[in-house]
Amino acid sequence: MATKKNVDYKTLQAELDGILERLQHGEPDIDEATEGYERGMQLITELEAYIKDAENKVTKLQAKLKDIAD
Amino acid sequence: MNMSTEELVLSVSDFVALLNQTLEYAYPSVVVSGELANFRVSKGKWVYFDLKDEFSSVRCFGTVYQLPGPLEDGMMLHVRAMPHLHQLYGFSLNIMYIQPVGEGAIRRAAELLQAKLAAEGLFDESRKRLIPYPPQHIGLIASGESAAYVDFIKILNARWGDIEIVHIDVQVQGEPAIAQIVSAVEQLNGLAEPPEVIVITRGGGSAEDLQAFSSEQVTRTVAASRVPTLVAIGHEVDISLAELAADQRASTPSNAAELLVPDKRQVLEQLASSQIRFVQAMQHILMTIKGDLVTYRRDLLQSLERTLQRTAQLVTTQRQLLAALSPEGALQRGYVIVRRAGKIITNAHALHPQDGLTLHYHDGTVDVTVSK
Repeated sequence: MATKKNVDYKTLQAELDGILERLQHGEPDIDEATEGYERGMQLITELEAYIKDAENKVTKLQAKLKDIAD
Repeated sequence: MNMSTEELVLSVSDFVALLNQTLEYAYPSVVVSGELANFRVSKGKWVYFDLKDEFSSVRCFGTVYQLPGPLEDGMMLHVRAMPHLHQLYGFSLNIMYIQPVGEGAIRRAAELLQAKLAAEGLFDESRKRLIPYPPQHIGLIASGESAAYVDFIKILNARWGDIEIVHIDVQVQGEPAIAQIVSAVEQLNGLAEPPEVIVITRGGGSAEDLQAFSSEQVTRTVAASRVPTLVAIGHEVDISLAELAADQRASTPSNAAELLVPDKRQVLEQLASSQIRFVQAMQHILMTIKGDLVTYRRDLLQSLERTLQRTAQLVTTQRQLLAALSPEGALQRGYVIVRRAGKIITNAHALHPQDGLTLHYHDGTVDVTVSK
């Protein structure tokens, strides 16, 4: 995953929080709102990929544990 | 008194020397059992006492280094000694080894020694050091033929295994026991790579059998060991002084092994259970984050929708405002535009009778003529 190399989960989430804060509590114009929305959705996609990656690791770990138990 | 001329006449010194030679030949050492009386220590080094029974008494002489610990009158002792006639002070038993005998004497001797060593701080809790858990390298002082040795090794290997054990075979009772145990502790301490712990162990036995472990020499050696010590003597009632001086004590040789190392199977079970808990925790965290992302997505969309609504609302308001300001708006409210030949007439003086006019309503036009 391209984003994962340089940017960690925390940083991505912090950017998302910042965008939401501006959109929810600021008075963005429609261009800002659209741009923020698009960037926010992109960040969410990246975070989902991050989670998927972690889930895969857990699944592998579970399989390993099952092997040991067997 | 008549003395025959053939009889040998000895000087006093020669007589003493002859007698001592005879004694040395006949009794290189002798063990005498008796009750201790008139015990005293001179100049902190020389020990004098009498050993007596109902009918006889014999003087004993030695040094404090030969004492098993503090002694007091009335104790029953076995004294190994060399009979000796001193050229000035007469006959005495020169002490080689002293052993209190009988439950009472042994206990009392231990009590006295315990009080003395406790006063020196040898048994203080603050002196106790932690034994590495589990150790990789153990120094074991035990009789190689004892059940204690077998039990200790068996339990140790069953629980953990793969531990380097340096065993020094010693006698754990009898006269040589003390010197052998002391030497073994010193030997292990002096190794280029000393063990992480020294275990001194034996099975149970009578008070007499266990005496070495309450002797001053062994107790001091255990206390002075640079390597942490664990002493395990299998007995129920009294605790030996070496155990009190050790960094840790165990009730039996098996118990010593149990204290030193964890049970491998138990550790593996705990590890497996920790791993399961870890995976569960991870799953929980991921679920929570996933939920958060759903909320993020919803919030983002709602924010955008709100901005769109706000913008649309603004456009509507502006449209209405514009409409209200346009001429069309005035016509809606009942005003008309009056035109003559296409030009808007804005005052009545500009009109003349018979002028043809067009009236513009909001919904159409009407042609009229000015009558006057």
